[in-house]
Amino acid sequence: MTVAMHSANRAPRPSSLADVLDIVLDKGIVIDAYVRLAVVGIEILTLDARIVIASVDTYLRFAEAVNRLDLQPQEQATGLPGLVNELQESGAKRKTRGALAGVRDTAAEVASSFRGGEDEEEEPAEERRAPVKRAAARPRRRRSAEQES
Amino acid sequence: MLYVYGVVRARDGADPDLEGVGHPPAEVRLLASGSIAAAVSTIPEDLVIDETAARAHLQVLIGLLDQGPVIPLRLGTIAGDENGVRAEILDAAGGAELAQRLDSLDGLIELHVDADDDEAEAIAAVAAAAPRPTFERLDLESRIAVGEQVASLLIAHRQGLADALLRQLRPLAVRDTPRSVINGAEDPVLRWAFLVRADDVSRFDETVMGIQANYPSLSIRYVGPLPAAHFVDWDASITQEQHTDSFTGSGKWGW
Repeated sequence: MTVAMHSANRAPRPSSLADVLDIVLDKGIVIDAYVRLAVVGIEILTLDARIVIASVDTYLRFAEAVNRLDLQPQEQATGLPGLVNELQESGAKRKTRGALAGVRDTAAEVASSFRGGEDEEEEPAEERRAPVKRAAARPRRRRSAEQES
Repeated sequence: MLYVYGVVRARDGADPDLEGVGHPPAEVRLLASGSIAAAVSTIPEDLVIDETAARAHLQVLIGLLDQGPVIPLRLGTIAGDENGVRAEILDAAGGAELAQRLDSLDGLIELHVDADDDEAEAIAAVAAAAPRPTFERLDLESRIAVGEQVASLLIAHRQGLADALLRQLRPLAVRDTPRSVINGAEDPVLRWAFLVRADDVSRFDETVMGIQANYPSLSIRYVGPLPAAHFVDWDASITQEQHTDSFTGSGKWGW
């Protein structure tokens, strides 16, 4: 299967880390094999500055934006109440950023579990796996929950 | 130790120049058993799974896709040795299902289309329908109410745009799915994945270019071909079990 890779505007791969992780972390299949395979622990830290979706400051920002459409000339906008301006500033640059911030276990730690006794392996493997799932799910889930509220 | 990237059909082979995770990048090879093969590379024990590794993992999957269908494994999947990969992936009970899934993805690739508007422009576009009271006289509560109405108009406006784009793109895709929940006042217009026949990619390209020309106010991001990660279907009951904390002790397949 060969697909033309060179299109005027089609990028061969996602640029943002969030989109990369969407494919290799959220959608990659997990093989639950507790003896000979492991998923190295990965901690995803989401620096999430979004406070509450569609919050009061969002509404005020929108109201201000509509109001500004009417104001001619522009200088009159300075007469707006300070509250609106402050909220607007705080709400203007909110972005959700995801980052791989740390690693729970290095491959070496997993490797040592491979070398360990059979009886010790099941429990540590499960402990390692659980945080990976939660960490992977957290950023999206939280975002969705906010949006639904 | 072996890092495992994904599973392919053994007969499709792999580009010998694929660069895997680690510094310097590890050489990627196929470990075959029967009709399927795992793409693996030898890694040092102190390998750290970081952003570079995540990007390398994806790049290997994209490289494998050149030769045929790929099922991605979760970032950070490692095995003690080749026997581990064979026993737990290739020769395991799920191996036959993997082979079937790979065949069902033959000739199909995933494309992503994202669309974002400029918020100020979008608000101006919906403002005609928004209430326009004398703003200065409004108390805080009334201003919030105005903003709330603008928010609902914005959401409807973006939904309309998304529907218009999907009407053009969907007929060219075998399947499609949203990549994130979009229903908030600050959400983008579109975050979508399409499963497309390789033969239809050039038509899809043309359609996306047409959209870019017809909607100059939208910023469009178009990415692919990618492995069909959003379209590898697994038994729903197995998937649900994956998300519970109970451990049954038996090997299972899932997301």
